[in-house]
Amino acid sequence: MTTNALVLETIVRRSGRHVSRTRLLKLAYMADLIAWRVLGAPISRFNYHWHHHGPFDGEFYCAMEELASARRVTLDSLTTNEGHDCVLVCAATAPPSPQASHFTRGQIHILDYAIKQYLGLPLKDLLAVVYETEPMKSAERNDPLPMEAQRNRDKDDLGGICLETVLESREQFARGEHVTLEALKSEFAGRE
Amino acid sequence: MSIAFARGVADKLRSQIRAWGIAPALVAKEIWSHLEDLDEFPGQRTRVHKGPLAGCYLHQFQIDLPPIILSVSIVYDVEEKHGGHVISVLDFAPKILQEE
Repeated sequence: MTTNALVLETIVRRSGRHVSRTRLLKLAYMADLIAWRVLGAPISRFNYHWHHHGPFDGEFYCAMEELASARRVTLDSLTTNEGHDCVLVCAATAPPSPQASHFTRGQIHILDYAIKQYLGLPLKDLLAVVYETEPMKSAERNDPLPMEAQRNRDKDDLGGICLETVLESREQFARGEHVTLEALKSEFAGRE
Repeated sequence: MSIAFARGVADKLRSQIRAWGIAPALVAKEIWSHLEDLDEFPGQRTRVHKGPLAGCYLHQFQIDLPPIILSVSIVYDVEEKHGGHVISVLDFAPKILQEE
């Protein structure tokens, strides 16, 4: 299974509901954009281009086909009340992917964050958010989006704080793996 | 009222202090005073409001330790427990701003 297919499957599964194909690609784009800014690299391997319906990469259809062929998702075509054709993507009821650990803690956290922030937005509002992102604003029609220019923007604003470390630290606290300030003070006091 | 470091962050602090070659107690004293202020004066705490770290607290400060000046960022959680606050330090990111 390719990384792109796994990203899309993870978004659909963790959304806990069907997701339209248009929205799914926008969620992947927003997660990748956040990952560039926070982790310094994207989660998927999509090469986004400026497209009249938002960021797009033809590889998206290959990833969807890969998931559908492997019966990891089902695709249902319908026409919305507004008369638009739409394809809904649903996670198949198969057991969770054995490749769930394909992603790091930080990547999963960002996918969940993107779902939480954008899944419930009306599509036109989500598109408005997407169009206002820096890569979309700085690219010309059909051009590749300059995603690399976003590398570590948010991480640098936070002085270099690492999301992966923060998440790992929370797990360490939950397991009782911590050192009190008093203990560290005593340790350093002996090393004048 | 307590302050604790995740195991990995404490290890990072120890190895970073070794790498700077400054008396550990000097660096530690500066960092402790900032943390203790955060503990004592909640008004000085700054919460991260957007992005995947929303909800955490961020504290950025400078330490003047001739011959170097350090910029330090600390991210931590605050939890109310037993009528007091528990500060859990989740990451520590130092940068040398100036080295003579």
